[in-house]
Amino acid sequence: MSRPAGAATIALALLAGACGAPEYGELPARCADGRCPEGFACIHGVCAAPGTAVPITVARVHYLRGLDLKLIPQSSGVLVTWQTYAYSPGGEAFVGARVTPDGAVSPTMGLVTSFVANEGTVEPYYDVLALSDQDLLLSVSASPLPGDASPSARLLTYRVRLPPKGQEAAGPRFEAAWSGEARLETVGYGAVSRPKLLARGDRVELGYVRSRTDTSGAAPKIVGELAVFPLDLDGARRGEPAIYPARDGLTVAVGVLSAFARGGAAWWVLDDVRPSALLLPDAGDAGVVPLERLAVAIDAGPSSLFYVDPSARTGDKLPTDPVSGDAWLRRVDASPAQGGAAWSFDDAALGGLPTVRDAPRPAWIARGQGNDGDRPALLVTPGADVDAPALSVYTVDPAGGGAALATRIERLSSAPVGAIEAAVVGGKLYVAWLDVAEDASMIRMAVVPEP
Amino acid sequence: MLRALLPGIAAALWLGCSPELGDVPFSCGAEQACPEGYACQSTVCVREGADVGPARPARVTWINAGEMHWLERPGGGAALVVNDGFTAGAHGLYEIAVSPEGVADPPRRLLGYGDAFPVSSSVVALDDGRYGIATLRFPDVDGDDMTLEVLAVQRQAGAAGAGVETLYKAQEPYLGGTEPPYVGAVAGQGGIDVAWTRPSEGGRVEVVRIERQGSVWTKKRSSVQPLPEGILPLSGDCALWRSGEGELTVRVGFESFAVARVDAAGALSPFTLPEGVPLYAFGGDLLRLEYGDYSAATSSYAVRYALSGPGGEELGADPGGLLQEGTEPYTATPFQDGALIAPISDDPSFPAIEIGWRSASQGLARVARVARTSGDDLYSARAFAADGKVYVAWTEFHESSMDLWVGTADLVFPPGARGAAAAEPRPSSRGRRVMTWDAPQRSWGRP
Repeated sequence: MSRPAGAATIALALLAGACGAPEYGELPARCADGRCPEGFACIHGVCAAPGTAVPITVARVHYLRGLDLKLIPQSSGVLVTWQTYAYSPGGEAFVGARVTPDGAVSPTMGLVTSFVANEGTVEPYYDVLALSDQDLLLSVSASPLPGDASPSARLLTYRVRLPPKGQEAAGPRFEAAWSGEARLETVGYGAVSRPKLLARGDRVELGYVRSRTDTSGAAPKIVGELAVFPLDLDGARRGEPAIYPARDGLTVAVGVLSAFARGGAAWWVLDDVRPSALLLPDAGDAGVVPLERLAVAIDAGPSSLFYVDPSARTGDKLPTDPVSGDAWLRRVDASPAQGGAAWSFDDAALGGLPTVRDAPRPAWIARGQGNDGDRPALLVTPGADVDAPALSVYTVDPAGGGAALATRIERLSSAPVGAIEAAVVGGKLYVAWLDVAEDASMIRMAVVPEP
Repeated sequence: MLRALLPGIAAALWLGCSPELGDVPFSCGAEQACPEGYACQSTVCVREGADVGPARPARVTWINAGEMHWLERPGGGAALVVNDGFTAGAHGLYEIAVSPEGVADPPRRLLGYGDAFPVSSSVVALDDGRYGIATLRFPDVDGDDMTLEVLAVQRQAGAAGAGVETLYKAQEPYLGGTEPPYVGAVAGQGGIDVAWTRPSEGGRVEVVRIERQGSVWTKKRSSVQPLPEGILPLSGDCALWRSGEGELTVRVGFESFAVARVDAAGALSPFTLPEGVPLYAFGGDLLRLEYGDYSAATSSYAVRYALSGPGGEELGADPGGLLQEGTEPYTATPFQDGALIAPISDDPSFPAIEIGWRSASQGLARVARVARTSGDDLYSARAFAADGKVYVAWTEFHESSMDLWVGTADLVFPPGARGAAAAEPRPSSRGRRVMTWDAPQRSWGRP
């Protein structure tokens, strides 16, 4: 039982004695000191009825883009990372905090705190790859700095060593893994690609979309190309990047959204509105396939890519507008082509899904083989509305698309959801999301038994 | 009994206590009601004759430096049209009427375009009294092309039933990005000239002229030049100036700039890359902003305004005081045979917005000054002059928002200055503060 909470509680008690029992409501106060009125328990910093599933607050920042929230599984618990911006009071930094299975949040750690960003242009993009519970690679892309003679985008990779669990207050150690920033051609000052790190066993690859004017043909042409940087496991560059034509007939000022390494091949998925995928076998020619508009790639096999074709936007079709109707689970199968192209692609619907928004993108957890064949995957989405009061967790048959509601995570908030990330570790499902309020963005989390 | 006495008590208090209400005491009541001696100005009661400084008619998320346009207002005063492309739930072009005394009406929406990508715009006055608005917009999620449109929009926003007429439309493949580049437009001689960057094929600038033929506007001519090396196709912001009789000059770029001339026949010359930031053109001469030493102590640059000839030779230069690190003048604006430059100050804190005037033959003269009542950093400013008055609008960074301010001042040329004879200052009356228009706020990073 919680103890009475100081003067406020005494005042409330006096009022109660004078006027009858006060009505506190379901969530009457925060409890930074752990104390709450009689009958309430301090749960994740909030006084609530015992047993209430109060979301964990990982961090509160003035503003955070949804794409800057990332969740990295650890052997026990997860690492949550995000970015603070050059124009924010704390300045430019990439930070993180561990969350334990019981929901305890570590002190915030500065993963990389010396990257210099131009506060007047688009915020930097970053990606994180965990090599172990303590070793990370962190890649950053950004616009040129003021006064820079070149408009080219900047790209750099850091290696980061986290402190042991429980010692987060000691802070990480980090250093640039490259001898200098790489500069990538661009056709616009704001056309900076999101970088993506991909583990390839004994090496790492870093994907980036560069854009440039190709003058090799009869007429100049704007092209978008995927640059894949080969890296050692410590982040050092192994050589020059391989360049692949990637966006013929599509937008070129785009980023790398996701990547999957399967067998002797890698799938790279570019852009979120007009997405396309590149199949890059270790040996052989590359193939490019456009996906359905707003598609969310979720998993891959050596010659297959799975994606969610989300429910249709309604109204003005803005990312914040409601969506309606079923979503679809689809699979693209690649097969060697006859004739000119290296690959032919067959894109087919596998089955229906419940209503799934494209923004925030759903979280998908593939769970691979179980004792009875493929275990159902997990899909987390707010459903139709960006400000849905709960996040729905579905189990999904990855072969056929059948879905069943497994659990709901009450947000206890009416703020729009800016992002969702999820991971399964040690029999628990960790779901992190971003509540985007008028004056602040809150990183929330729930830890529930794995469905 | 007590209830019966209340009116009397109130009256006695009113008569006996004569409260000091201040110059801007409170919001107006219903039907713009204010106490005696006060007038309702943009929903705030302002003491008549009070000198309460410039007006702040809007607090928004962001207004681009190139998206503030002054136009003369029929019947006196001026109208400022701004494009708010970032405030959630309020994207659109807004008209703010400003009197010669500096009283600003609340913003009135001329054209809303929803909360998708921001739309870039340039605004001109048409002969028929409407605004001509050139817009460049990205496609929605289903589309693949960006669209240039020239629209005719009724002045006095909100006029019942006023329609928006599409005068011209062109499309270009969309290559990505978060915000379309600025378009430039000028009106005159019965037509509208528009400059925009087509990013495909390596990037090209097109200057297209449309003219009215009877009731219909049609494309009269267009001319295209490829972007020079160093100007990025997706960052081809265009500004267009009338630089001579029938001649235009187009500036393109962001961070670095190129210029080209459009002759009387509509032919666009190849681009050249001048030093500094071209702010205006007189014939073949360029008025350029040049940055000098940076002071870390004051976060400002010493600047000068230079005039260079067609071959790039410098014809003269004037000290231009200081510019704060984040300030972007973007363009000068035409007045008489020269151009107005804002903001100018010798104090890095900019206690006042000074307005300069420069022509091809006359050095920089400071011709007006509007004191600021805020200490926030400046983003941009734009000046306009008519009937002996200078109107200036400026934007300031305010926490995570941007404030739009306007003020007026008498136009006063220094003795002997060439423009002095044409300027006829009227009795001084400084701008007045009016009520803030608070658009819905959302915390965004700077675009």
